[in-house]
Amino acid sequence: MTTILVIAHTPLATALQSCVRHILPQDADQILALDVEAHQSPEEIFAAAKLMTHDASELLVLTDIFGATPANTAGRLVDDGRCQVLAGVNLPMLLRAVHYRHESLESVVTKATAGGTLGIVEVNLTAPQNQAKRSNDPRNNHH
Amino acid sequence: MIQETITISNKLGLHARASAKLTKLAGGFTCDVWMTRNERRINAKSIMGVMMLAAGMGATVEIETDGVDEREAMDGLLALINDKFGEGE
Repeated sequence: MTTILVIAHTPLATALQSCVRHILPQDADQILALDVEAHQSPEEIFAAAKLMTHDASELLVLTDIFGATPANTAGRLVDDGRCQVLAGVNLPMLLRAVHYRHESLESVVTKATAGGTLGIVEVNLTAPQNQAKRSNDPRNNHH
Repeated sequence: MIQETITISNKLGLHARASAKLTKLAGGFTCDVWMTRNERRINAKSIMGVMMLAAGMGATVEIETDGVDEREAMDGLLALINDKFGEGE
């Protein structure tokens, strides 16, 4: 079982956790969330993250943006093969990670990455709902 | 293999929570479960796939179940959708 920790600029980590609580109520307790405040030092964040995840056998850390303090701190958690970090977290990525957390860490990483990418969609162009609307739009009637 | 067509009747359509319920139910069966809408065919055990159908209230979707427990899976899914995912509206 992979433990999932979200580390992000406040309030994004707990906000994402709340979203999962809404969508998958039974699974929300499986997600750890660490909001990073502007005044917190990297050492303080790292210590908090370590404390939260000390009993995790396999750990996936999801963070918001590469190069920022939450991601830089998350990177320090990767000390051996049992922890991996992904930046660019979004709700599709998190839902997918939660859904597949019973699989191996490598597998969860693959699924989460794909989910995060596939979740970025141009809604107006690709949603079948909207395609149907467009085909009924009189402006599309060239006859 | 069983195929059925059903209309989504709850107010919010296949939104996130409804998709999660449908995916959980489908995932509990060993048979394959597919859903199709407007030529988009997805694995109904995948929450992302189900949400990508973007099926709102009134949308028609086709469900396919294929495997040893295909009848139970189909009955369960039809019941969940007809029950408006337990949302009451």
